[in-house]
Amino acid sequence: MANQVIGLDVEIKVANALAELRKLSPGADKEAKAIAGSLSKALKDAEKQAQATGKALQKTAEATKQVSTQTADLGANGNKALKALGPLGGVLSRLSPEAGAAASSIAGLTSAFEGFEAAGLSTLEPVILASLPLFGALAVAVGEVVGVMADYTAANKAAEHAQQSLKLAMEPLSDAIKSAKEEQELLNDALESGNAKTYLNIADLSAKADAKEAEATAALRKEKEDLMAVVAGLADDNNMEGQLAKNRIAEIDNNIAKVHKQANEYARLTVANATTRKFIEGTKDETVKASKATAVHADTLKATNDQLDAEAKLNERNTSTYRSAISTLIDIEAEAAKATATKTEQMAIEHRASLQKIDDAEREALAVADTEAAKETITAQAVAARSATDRAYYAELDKLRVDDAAKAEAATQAEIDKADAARVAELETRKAIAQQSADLAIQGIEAVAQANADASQREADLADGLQAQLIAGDTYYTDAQKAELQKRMNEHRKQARAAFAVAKAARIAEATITTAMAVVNALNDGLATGGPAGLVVGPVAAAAAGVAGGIQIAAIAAEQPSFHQGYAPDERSARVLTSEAVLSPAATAALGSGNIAAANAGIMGGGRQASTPVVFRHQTFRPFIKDFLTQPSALSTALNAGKIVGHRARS
Amino acid sequence: MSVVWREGGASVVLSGDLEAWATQAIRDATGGAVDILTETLQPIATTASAGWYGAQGVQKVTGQSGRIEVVSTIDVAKGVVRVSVGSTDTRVAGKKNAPVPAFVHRPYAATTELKAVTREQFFAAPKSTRVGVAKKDNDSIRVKKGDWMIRVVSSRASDGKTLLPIYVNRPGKEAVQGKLTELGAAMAAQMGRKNG
Repeated sequence: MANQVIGLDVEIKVANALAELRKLSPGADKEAKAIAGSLSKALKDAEKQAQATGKALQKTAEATKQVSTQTADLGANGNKALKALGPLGGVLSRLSPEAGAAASSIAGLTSAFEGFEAAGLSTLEPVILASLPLFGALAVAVGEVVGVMADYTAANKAAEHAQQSLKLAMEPLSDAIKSAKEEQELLNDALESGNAKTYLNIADLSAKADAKEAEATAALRKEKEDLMAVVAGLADDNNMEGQLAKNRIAEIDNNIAKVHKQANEYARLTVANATTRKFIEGTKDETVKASKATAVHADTLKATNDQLDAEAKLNERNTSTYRSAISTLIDIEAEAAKATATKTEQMAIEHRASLQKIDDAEREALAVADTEAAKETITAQAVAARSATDRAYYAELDKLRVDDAAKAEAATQAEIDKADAARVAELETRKAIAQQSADLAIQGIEAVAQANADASQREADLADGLQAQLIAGDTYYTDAQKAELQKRMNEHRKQARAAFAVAKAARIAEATITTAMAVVNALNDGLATGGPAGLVVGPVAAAAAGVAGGIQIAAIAAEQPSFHQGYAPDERSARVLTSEAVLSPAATAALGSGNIAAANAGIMGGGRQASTPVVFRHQTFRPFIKDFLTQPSALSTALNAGKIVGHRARS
Repeated sequence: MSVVWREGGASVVLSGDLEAWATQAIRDATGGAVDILTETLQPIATTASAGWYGAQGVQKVTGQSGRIEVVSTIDVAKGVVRVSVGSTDTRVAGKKNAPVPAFVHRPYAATTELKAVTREQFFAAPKSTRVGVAKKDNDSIRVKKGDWMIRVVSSRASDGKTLLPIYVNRPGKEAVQGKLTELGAAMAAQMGRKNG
């Protein structure tokens, strides 16, 4: 075991402690030796006990018991010695200091000594004085006995201390183990019983009964233990006190038995009540289940009845509906049969019925006629009646045939009218389709004509632009450049003419279509007018339309493009300002081309310098451009490369 | 002061007549040196007990580690008498079963402690300091069940040093060193008496 103090330790060697103890006082070494020996023994025992747990506890208990027995014996001897020592204590204290010192170490001796002294020392003094030698020896003997007793008392205390400590330490665990073992036995019994749950419930109830029994008998058992202690303490347990105690113990046993019987009855009733309660609860559950099942069954039955009622009502309704439907069908069938019979059949049926009536009437009349004349008359009348009936029948039949023929004719005429209407409608449809197709074709042709006319005009404009450029640059363009411009100009004019031709062809086609449609419409209109007038008006109108169309087509074919289509060998295109003048060939010849050129250059006769307005793209720039072109520059390089600078093609 | 009788692995605390006898025995056996040590260390124990849970002492008061006493142990097997001063708290902790009192320290500068406040104060305090409502009494930190608690810097904030050296070991050593001459004289007288 480690040191019990966490802190500072100072150790002093006292190896010779026992030798030093001997010097304390005469005779005290024995006490010290005995105490030390006993302590060491007790400590060793305690250590063994601590290591050996249960066995050590048992050994300690046995040792304690032995020590207790020895102590009890010593205590009895000590009591006896004290009783003998009591009357002599005061004398010893006066006569023998050593004996008095020894006696003074005995706890409790002082009171006895003082009590004795108070009781009257003077009366006993002569006796004490006379017995002094004997008392001195006895006092020493008593002192030794008391010393031994003190040894064992100390040893007993140490052992009890160790025992109690161990008991306290092990008590909770021992109790827990004990409880666990008891529970284990209970559970094993429960498992062996076959119905563990019930067994445990009964065991629980029995435990409660036992607890109540223990609670009820606690006082009795305590009293019994006390009485038994009293009896055990008696030297003679047959005296009056012992007998009374024994009688009371017997009575207590009887009472405890009665309480035990009551406890058993309580346990039995408790178990029975629990069983009954469980049965009642189980029955209650069954009753509740049965009630629920009955309720469910009743609900099901009610639902079934309701369903059957509903089905019955439905069947009834279906039956009446069926009957009504059957009746209706029969009626419909009869009506249908009646409706399907032809009129002639009905007439034949009625005719046969009439003849049958005549035959019946004749037969009845002949049956009752009693004379030949009467019979002949009857027969004649019957024949007449039959003839009348036949005539009526056949007349009716002829009338019916006439009606049928009229109806057939009317139907045929209706069919003819219907066919005519359909033909007219078809013609109208075809006419509309043709008109629509013609309109679409005209629209397309117009679009083509317009597009080509636009293209022709655009190409002509381009050609005019190039021509103007060629004229403007006539004096400074190189031959290659002029050839290039002329080539491009020719291409544009060619394309313009082609486009113009297409546009003209398109307009001719448009006019042709229009003319054709006009002729057709005129014929149709004439036919629609009907009659001889229609036969005349239609072709006349058609011819007029055809003539008008022909004129229009001829006009279109005669159209020529508005742009200049090329130069004659002696022609040149020119664009002039309003302030400029154009000379006729005669005037040009009269003035002379050189003079006209000099005049255009501002050189007038007589050395006068004429002023010329400086405008864009006109002559005053010419020298500058000329000088510019004579030197290496971007413009000259571009021109030499065959490119034209300063003009962009039209898009 | 208490006296322990120790022999081998077992030890018992003596009391009553046995304690008186043992006290007298070791007093005589050591020539009064044990008495000198006891008288020297007893004030140390008293002072240490007072300071252990004092204003600058531990924060969590259980009453166990601060039980500082002077104990005289008679070890028969070794033939020595050991006079000890320190905590009698025998609790151990950790994997090495180290004694608890050896590691008890006072709060350091950042030590916090729980403080019981009102509900309003609780919700007025910064959220990080809120702990909650105490579910049971805790006398060691002076908190009752149902208290609203927040965590504040300990009012005992100090240097966080271990208490045992401060209150027991160092003053004890100093005191014993101050008595060495007297102790030596007592032991010498005892030796002389034995030899003589």
